[in-house]
Amino acid sequence: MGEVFSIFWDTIKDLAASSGLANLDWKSGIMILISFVFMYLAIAKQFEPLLLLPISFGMLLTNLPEAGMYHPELWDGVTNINFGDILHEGGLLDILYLGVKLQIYPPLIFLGIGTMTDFGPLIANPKSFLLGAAAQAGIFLTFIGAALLGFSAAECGSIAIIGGADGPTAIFVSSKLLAGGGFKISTGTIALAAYTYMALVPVIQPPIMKLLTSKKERAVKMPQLRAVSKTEKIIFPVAVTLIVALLVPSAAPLVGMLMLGNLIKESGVCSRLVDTAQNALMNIITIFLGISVGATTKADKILNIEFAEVILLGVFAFCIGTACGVLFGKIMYKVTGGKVNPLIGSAGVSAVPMAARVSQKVGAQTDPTNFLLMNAMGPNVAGVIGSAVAAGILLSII
Amino acid sequence: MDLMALYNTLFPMTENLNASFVTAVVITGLCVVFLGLVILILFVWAFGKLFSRKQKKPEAVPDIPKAEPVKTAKPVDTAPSSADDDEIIAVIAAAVAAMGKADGKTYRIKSVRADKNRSSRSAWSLAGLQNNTNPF
Repeated sequence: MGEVFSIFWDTIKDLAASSGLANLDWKSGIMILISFVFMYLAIAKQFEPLLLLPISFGMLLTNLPEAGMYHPELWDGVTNINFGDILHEGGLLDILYLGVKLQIYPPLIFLGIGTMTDFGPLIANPKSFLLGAAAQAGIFLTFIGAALLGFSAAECGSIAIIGGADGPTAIFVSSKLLAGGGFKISTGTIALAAYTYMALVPVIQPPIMKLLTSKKERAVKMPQLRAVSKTEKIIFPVAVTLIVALLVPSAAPLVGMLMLGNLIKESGVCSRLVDTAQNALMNIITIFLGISVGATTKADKILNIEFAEVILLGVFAFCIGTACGVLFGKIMYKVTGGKVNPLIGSAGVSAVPMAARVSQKVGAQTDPTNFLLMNAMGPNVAGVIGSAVAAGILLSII
Repeated sequence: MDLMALYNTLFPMTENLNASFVTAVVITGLCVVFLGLVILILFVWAFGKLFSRKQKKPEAVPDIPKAEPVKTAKPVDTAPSSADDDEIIAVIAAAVAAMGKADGKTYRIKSVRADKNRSSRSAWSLAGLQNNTNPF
């Protein structure tokens, strides 16, 4: 009887020693609490729930001690990925993370976005491209800020791309630039900051828009856009792919997949593919992308001064991007003799369709009969192309 | 160049990052983004013009002898316009009365006139748009 009790007691002691609770350090505890905050924001406040919820749960899983779902040692400081090690020793999240590390998920997300995007407003008013380009200034000006804070070139590029307000682009660029490891920040840090700010677009943008515009400018009513023919919509994705990929080849994976998705949609002959790309495929990739990006948010990568700096630079990038878009909108307002409402300029930061909705909302606050939504969709989708081009440039230079 | 040296002294960056490189990234980035998108503007504008011209071109009509116009009786207005006006005024009066009831005041309608500065959209279209965009 005594022996049985001894075995029982030893087993209980071993179980207790190897349990997560015994190995829980304060940093992991804080990260688990932070994951709860993000879950709350996703569920209760509906801040980008489709991505923030998987990211926050990935954050919870990766910070559970002894769970072994993600192994940073397999990735950090590794220039050439050893696939054998990952498949044999990696956990579930390590295997899913391959899609981020090999830049597979972001272009596939772009494929889905392409099937859901109507480039009609942009084709009807091609001047919108200028607003999409102006808002990318946030990316390049943040590059200066990051450099001043002592980050390396690869880190500066990864932080700056947050200003593109495009989650998949931010993940694509940062996973490529931070591939070698040994950096102070990770792809997870960038993704977390990017998606948090994208969710906060309705909070961040309106004060800047109101500050930079007069009531008269905000009240400008823009004419309804012309109808765009089906042929124009079919030629557009092919032409954009050719022009952008020939000009900035490193932007080809993102722009190419975005335009492939759009061509599938506009052709009108691949309804089954459209249905799969915008529903099943998009949802599967969103879950994989979210959970594996969340997995990279290990406590030691997040609870440091660099993460605070990334968060600060991220909000700076967003504000500058919005301000540059609005200021360029003001230039267009002057040049056209008051025919362009500067509020549509803020939509150039991507974040489709949230940024266009914000332009509509701020315009309607000045005049409830003013409908800027479709006019703002032009710069908004131009911003997606613009941020992909900017991403290609950062990858080419750095 | 001296300015760059001063900038580097004031803001010491990492080994592989100096003011010249950062400035080059910013200028190159902005120029290439604008260049790429300006090329796209020109392309989209050009093919937009081409297609709108094609749409405007009158289609060749085959030489078919004109058919004799069929004489039809003029449609008779089933409801005179004054009756329509009365109906609209009644609806407006009811709406104003309801508003007055809510405010606890009595309103008197002096005249009803069409708004010359009204939007190009119909009232129903405006109401629909407002209904769809209000949740934003």
